[in-house]
Amino acid sequence: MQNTVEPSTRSDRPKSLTERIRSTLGRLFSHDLSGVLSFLILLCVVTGILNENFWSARNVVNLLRSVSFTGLAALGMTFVIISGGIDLSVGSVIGLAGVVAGVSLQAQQPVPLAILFALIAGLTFGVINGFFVARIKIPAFIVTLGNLYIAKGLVYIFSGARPIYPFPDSFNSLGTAEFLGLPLPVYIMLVAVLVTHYLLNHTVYGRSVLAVGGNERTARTSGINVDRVRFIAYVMLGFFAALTGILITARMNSAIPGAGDGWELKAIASAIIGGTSVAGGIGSILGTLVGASIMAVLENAMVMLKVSVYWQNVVVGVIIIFAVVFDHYKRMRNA
Amino acid sequence: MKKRLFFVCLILVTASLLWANGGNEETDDRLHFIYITPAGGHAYWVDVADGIKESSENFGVKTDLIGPANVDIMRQIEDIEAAIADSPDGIITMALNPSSYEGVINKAVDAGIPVVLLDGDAPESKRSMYVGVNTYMQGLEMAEKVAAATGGQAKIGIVTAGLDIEIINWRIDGLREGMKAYPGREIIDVQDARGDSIQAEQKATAMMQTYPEINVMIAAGASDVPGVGKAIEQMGVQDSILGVAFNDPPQGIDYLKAGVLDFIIASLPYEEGWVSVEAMYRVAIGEADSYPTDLVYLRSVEITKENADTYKELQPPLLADYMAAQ
Repeated sequence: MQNTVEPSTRSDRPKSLTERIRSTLGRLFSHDLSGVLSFLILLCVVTGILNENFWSARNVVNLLRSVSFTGLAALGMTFVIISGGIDLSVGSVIGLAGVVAGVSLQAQQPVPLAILFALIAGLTFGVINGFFVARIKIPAFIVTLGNLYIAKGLVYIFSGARPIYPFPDSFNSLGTAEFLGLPLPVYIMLVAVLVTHYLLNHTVYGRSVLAVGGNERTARTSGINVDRVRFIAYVMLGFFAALTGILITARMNSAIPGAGDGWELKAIASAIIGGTSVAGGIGSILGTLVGASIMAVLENAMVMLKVSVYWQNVVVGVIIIFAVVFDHYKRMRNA
Repeated sequence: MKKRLFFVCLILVTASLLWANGGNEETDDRLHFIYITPAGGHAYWVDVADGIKESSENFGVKTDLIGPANVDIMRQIEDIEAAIADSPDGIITMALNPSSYEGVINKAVDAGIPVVLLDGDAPESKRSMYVGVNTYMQGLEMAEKVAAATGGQAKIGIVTAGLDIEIINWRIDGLREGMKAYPGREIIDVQDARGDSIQAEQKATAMMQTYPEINVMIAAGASDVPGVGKAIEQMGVQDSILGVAFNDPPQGIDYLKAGVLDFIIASLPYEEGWVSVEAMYRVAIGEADSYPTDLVYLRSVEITKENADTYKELQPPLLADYMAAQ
């Protein structure tokens, strides 16, 4: 028997699945994100046509895992950049958190405690960065550059510059376990995306971050506690950096002193490709997710498309610039 | 508040500098060498430093260890300049890129300070001796072993730690050259993981999917070993892919024991450090003048599941024995 629906007005009629998908896609593509999102889709489609293995379950899982590691660090970075700051210490804090977890586990500490210590290490650097930037008014570039060195130094001190391993399976499963075919870090990242998206778009704090980055003086006049807003952004980034470090360490079953090196650039690039303004005041979590995805897909596509290893950096650089120019052009046209 | 904070910071910085410098006050009559590491924060160079420390004790010399934590040629050269200013009895260091170091090495020698290079040579410079593994020969050796292990067709994928690291490039050159002797065996793809283990895993996974014909995966740098091992393990292809490496980080040894990697051809960094101090010592006391060569090529070892626990127990040969064998 076929279901029939009484005729109804356009506004109160329940939408069919097709209509809802069309509506959601329509909203997405008319959104600020449409430029980079279109670019990501185009990149995936072209790579998939040229190499069918791109869409294989194994490669998609590989890609999603890659996005989750970069994405987590980039989520925190998004808040910092929107608030008008920058954090160069992220990569070193990722490495430090991994080493702190590793040293704790080697000292026979229970897994939850090792994770807690690693998170505390990340939060501590977030607090230090936030304090000096927001309260003491030292330029973020200088403070976080200093902490890049300090955190890296602590990595070497705690690890003796050697990898720390092995760890219990209960810890490693954080980076290796899969549920419904997807790695656990992907679920962790999705939860983080939902929480931070809500925080940025539906809370007073989120609106304050946008206001502070947009115009600090106006935000201050409006009664926003600018220092507190900035401080919290750095602390959040410390947390996400630590989380990334823990997951990488669990994934590799070893705390590698060099882990996280250069990841500050990945995190910054993900946020900026995703539409976050370097000048502050503009940005979105979904945009950062798309930016992190573009970074991961590009790295993967270079292998899949058999691009010479010597040309890969050139191609990735050109494509990143192209993606941002394309996005900028589309925004201008929409405006 | 700010003024007080400024003074607190000033005191902290001064105190930490004094503390950091505290160990350098002793004076003695021993020969004084300075070792400038190219990357003190890497496990390989920590092992080299261990060899240098123990060898220094053995030969009764004092060796100061300085240098950058990560590869930074400019910084390393600045540290060599600083070492020259300290007028030691000898300098031990590594030339990551021969031409970049020739000037500063010659400056040291012209100032009366002999230089011994380890691991990376600058043959056109005035250095006294070179101690290290010939990584080109390592590549040739790897080609032989891979050919023997695969029997028929060998399609090779390589993950490297950096396109600009000469000692790794020489390995790959040696491998390419060695493969020419074996038709049906070729390098299919080389990917750069830029010293990042997570990248190494992702690149290795993507490479094995892009080229299903690959049946040999090689980790060319130490940082690539955990990632390549993880990719082989994760894809469950340890029975169909020959997994090999050029370095022996602890994770690599675990992968050997687990059957994920099949063998590793590695240099022995501890031995490299040990012999380089001995070479510096022989140069400083004038004994090296009678040596038939200024090149000391150390051996590589093949590490398998069987000798994974014992290969480091081998004792370094004395330099005199090496020279006598020339």
